[in-house]
Amino acid sequence: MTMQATIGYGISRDEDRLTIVRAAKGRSGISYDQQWNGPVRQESAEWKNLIGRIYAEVWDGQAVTAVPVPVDKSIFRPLTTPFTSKKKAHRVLPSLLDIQLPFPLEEALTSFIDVSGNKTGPVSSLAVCMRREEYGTFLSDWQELGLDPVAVDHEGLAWWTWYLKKMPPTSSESRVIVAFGQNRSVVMIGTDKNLLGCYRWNKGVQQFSQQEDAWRDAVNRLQRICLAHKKACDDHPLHIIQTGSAIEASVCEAFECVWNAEDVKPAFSCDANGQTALASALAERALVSDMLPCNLRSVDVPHPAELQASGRNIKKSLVFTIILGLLLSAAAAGFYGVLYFRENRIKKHVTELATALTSMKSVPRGQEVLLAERSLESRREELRPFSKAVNDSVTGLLNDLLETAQTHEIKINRLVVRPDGILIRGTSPGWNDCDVLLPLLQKAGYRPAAPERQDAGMDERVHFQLQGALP
Amino acid sequence: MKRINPVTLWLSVALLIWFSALVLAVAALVQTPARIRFMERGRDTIMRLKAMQTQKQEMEENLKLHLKLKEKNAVSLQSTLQSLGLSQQATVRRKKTENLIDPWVRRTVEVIFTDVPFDSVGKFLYTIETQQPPWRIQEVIFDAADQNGTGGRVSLVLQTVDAKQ
Repeated sequence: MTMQATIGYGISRDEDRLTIVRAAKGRSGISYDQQWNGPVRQESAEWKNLIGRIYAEVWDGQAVTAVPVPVDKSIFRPLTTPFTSKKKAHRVLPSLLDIQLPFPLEEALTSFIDVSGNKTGPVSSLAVCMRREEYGTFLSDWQELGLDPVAVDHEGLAWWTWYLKKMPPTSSESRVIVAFGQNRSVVMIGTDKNLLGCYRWNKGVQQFSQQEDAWRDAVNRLQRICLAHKKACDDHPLHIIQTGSAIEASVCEAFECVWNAEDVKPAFSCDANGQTALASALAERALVSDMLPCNLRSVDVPHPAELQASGRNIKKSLVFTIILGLLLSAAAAGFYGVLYFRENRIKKHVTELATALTSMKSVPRGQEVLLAERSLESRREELRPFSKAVNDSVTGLLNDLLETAQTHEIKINRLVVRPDGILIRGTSPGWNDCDVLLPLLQKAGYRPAAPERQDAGMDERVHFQLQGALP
Repeated sequence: MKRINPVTLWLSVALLIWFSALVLAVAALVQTPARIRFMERGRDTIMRLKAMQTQKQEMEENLKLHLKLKEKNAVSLQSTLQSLGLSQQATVRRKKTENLIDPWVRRTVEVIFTDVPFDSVGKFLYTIETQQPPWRIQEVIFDAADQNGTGGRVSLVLQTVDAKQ
């Protein structure tokens, strides 16, 4: 279903009685609301209002209407392919169905419902098929009532999935659902969750209440159906669920009473409120995709509202794609722009600094550091005398040397200070006394050599010589 | 004329936008590493240039100091010697004058003291170094004449940077 509907209208019909149930998907799950349950009065304002409201929602893309294909007007077949590959299996499914049909497959609308899930093993499918001719008549009958269905579902699947959800099997069982109508009844049989067959009786509650042996016939018919699925019925305990548009507690009691006379005593469940179950099931199935979805209408020409919704979805997707594309473009362009801006800012800063350093009008790109270094070196040479004239003074060193010498009774005979080095020659009272001068030389930036000393002579003083060079 | 289906038109627009977006995104991604490397190199260059700028500013400061001086000419050595009473023991000899940035020159002068107390030379040096513009010692030789090392011969090579006279 291409429509992203949140409302489903399930419509079932039993003779002239029509049931419409509205299912709305909400945060707390699906809620059901009966909209119509009774004969159709096409001329009534109430009916017209209801149909008008329903189709306003349908054309708005909010709602889907679903009707059931009766079991007797369609063919239901469970199929098992010899393949484990779904792709291969889907190619052979039409052929497997074709040989089971009394008419050519091309004359029918067919829907294959995959029931394998994620199971390994051969791929299984449920085939629902309806002759095109019959489908045309079926659709026009609904359209005459003013109800053009968006989804054409299968009655048997709807009953089966509804009770799987409402009465989930607690243990392995053979399940039979008998849906009683006024003049017809349908039977669905299966094991656990697998639907194996759908059958129709030409008798409903009216016949059962009028004919004495009708119940006995019904039980016999049901037993024959079980025989047709002997393996399923023999291997598992039988559970019969009674429901339908004409269900009543008395109907259940009568049916169970006939069964109790038999040897086989199955478990019974009676859904006395099952009058609207089919419509509710159809409404819910139109909204969810995990209940063996089937729509023969989408196989043929879809409902115009669905086509419109499909177009709307395409447009929405396109707009979303365009917006995403624009956002991506903007992000990429923004990123590119930020890089470009930062790069330019750095280039500009480099140029400004280089221009200021070199005093050139324009500095060739990539040569900034080289030219700046050359310019700085040349300027350094020009300004070096000013620097020396202010900073370089040896007076401090001379003062320190003379003061220290006086303190330690060192006598300096010769002191030579040149731009490249220093020489101190003198005498000291002790052998190591001249060492006190070495830190002063180091502090002034000289690299002093080891002091040269001579043993004390006639003057009883140690003669020494200190030399230091500038690095 | 055949009418274009709106869906086809919108699809073409979407494809065009996506194609442009992809081209832009890929271009940005491809160029990013090179641009980041360029920016890192640029930042490194800026740091080096800034360091050079700081050095230059420090050098220029010394020139500015000279420019700010009230007196542009260094104190006369002769007059200083006279004021300290050392003119008799000292001989002043001009060695060389170098032209610097106009109007500045660097003058180198030799002063030789014979038989002078070293303390007096210290006073002389202190006086000329604390004047503006200052004199600076380039070379100094003390030769003590006595065993006490309190006086003797002193040879000084002095330099100053001052304005042309």
